[in-house]
Amino acid sequence: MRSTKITATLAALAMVLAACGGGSDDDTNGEAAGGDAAAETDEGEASGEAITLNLWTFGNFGYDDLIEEYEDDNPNITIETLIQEFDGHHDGLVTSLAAGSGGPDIAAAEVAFIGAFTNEADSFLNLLDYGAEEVKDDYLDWKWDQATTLDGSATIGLPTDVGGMAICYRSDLFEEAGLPTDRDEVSALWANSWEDYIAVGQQYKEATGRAFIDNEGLLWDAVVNQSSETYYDSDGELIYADSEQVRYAWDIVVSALEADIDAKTPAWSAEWNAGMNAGDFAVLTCPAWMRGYIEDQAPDTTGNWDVATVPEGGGNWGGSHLVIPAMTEHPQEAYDFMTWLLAPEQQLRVFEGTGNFPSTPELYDTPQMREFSSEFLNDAPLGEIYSDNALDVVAQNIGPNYNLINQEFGEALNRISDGLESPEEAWETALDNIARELSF
Amino acid sequence: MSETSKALVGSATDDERTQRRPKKRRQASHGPAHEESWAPYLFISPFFILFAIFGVFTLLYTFWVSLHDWSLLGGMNAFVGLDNYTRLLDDPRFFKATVNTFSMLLLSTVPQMIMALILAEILNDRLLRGSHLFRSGLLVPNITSVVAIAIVFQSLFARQNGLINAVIQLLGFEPLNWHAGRLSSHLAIASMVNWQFTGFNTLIFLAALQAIPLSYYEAAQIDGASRIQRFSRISVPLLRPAILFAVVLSVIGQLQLFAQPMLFGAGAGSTSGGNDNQYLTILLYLYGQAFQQPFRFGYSAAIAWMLVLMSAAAAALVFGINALLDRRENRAERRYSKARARSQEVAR
Repeated sequence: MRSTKITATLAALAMVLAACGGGSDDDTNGEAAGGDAAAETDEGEASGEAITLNLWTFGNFGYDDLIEEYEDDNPNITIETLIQEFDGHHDGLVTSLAAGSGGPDIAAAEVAFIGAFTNEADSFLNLLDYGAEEVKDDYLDWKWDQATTLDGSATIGLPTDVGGMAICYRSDLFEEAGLPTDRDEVSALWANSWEDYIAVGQQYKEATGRAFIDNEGLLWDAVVNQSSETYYDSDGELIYADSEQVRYAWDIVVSALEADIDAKTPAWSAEWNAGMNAGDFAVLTCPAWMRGYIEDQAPDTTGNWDVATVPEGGGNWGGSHLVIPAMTEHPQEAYDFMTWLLAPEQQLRVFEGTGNFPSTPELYDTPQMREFSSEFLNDAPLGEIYSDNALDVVAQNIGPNYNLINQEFGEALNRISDGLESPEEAWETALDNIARELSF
Repeated sequence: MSETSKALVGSATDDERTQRRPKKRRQASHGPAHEESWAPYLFISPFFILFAIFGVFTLLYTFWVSLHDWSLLGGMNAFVGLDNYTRLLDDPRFFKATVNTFSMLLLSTVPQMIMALILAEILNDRLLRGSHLFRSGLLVPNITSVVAIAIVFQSLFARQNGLINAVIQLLGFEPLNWHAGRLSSHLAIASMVNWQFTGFNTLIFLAALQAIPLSYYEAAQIDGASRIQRFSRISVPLLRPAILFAVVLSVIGQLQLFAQPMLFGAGAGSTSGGNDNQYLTILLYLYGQAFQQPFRFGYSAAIAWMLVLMSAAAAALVFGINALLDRRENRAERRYSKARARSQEVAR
């Protein structure tokens, strides 16, 4: 009797322990996201060496058809994709990099993260070791440089798409305000300077009583990203406090706030989306990928939007790279797949499918791109506008803490907009906050 | 745990052998016959094993991380001792986040408990028709996703097209920029929390109310106690253990407020909790420091430990207040029974 009890007890304990053990085994498999672990076991089977590559992206990269084609051509390779939204994707990627395991073989890194990643180049494969130098000339120089360390010794990512920069405007609202509606005439209104852009905004507000721009944040992004140096100089030194171009962007946005031409609808909020539909504002900072967003949020405004060029030339907002975390077990295969996926021919197909704008300038002269337009944007020659713009962009050292600094400036401008601080106070607070955050 | 207490626990559950206890105790020190004394530990061990792995270990490891200059991307750099903690005490943002967290805690817990008590008292009324409908209705906000709640409230409190501002304007006042002010943003976020958790607390109170014997209320009624008196003199004092439970739960939950302020500030830079950190909470700050630039893992671990200490202190405070109330009540009871004894003597 007693012995059965003991046995039962031990059995129960054993089961518990087994359950724990089993659980943790599962976890490690799970962390490897099916891929690495599966590949490991597959490696044992000799011929062809079946390999699974994990590809993590966010939003809409439009790779599905291309992946299928690559798998057909390379029967030993299976590509597993994990597509998340922006924040979830980057959080997961950073966490797996910190853990040093369980990460993907290839991952997308948006421009907001690429500076920080390039600063930690050891966590990624140096593509130059795999002969990436050969394909360098396929891509826009400034975009290539974003994923290259300052000393040029390592390149961690290949460019996917670029954002470019343009101004989307509501031609119906412009007409109401007695402004020109033709896109060339509109572009000419403010081609020379951002001051002219603000002046047009004041004119619009006087005529209609409504706001011209959506909020100060998008204006800031547009202006500050036009400079060759923003928060770091080309040697990687922090120059945000003394940079003339940062101060110039600041003054432009402050004068827009003082002119009171903004709708005070924060970007990406429900109010902002509603405002697009309701005509709460007449213009939007408009990288190539923004078209899809407006079309989703304000489908009823088809044909009312048009595209003009951005004041003072080039600019870029958004776009990504693909990187290979150093933890991958199949660096060569991952590299081969990635170079194929991002070659100009494939980028053209992605562009035709999703509108993501290629980072390979040789495509910009192709008829497919030259003639590309969108009915939603009143048949504006998008291909032409964005490719001319992309070629105008100057290389800019993003730096490891670009996001942090950009966010502090954005919040400072927002405080002015909310009437919490005067422009001078806001500038001082921003500098203090950045200095404190970076003082570790 | 000592050998004797082990044996006590072991034998206490094993009622079959209660009579043989002395004999067993003697056996326990030598020979293989003492197995049963550890059997109960075996049965409760799964919880402690899991707690050790997922609770104690992570706590201690977090502490270890907090002693280092540790970048989430760059890895561990150097042992810095308590530097992260001394820095934290000097960090105006951490100070702000702490004040915000406690302010939102008060703004949500206090009204929540009062409303829940009143609702529970109303629902406990036997004459109320359709009380089942109301009771299940109370749980609806609680099972709604936080994200859904936050998105709805975000548009309610929107500056330009928000429903609440529309009502304010209708009443002839200036619309309010809810996000900009510290108190206004706290009120908005607290209202989300209150909406979500009042029903849950009501149910806890309702369950406790139903355990109070009806005879108390009847006796009070016969003595002429009004409805309000019955509520404040019978229900509330007898509900004190339930209130204590709900308050502790709410305090610990509110110290970890995260999703509501994060989504309230949806848009650019949602981890900053407003353009002047008006509604930055401790947990939001912790998350932003670790998982966004500058990826300070060690610093964020120090914040996590401060949060642990604050939670412990807050819980201790609540229990302390409860103990004080207990003592006062006991004193009152003694006075009452003494007085009663005296009056009985007099009567005799």
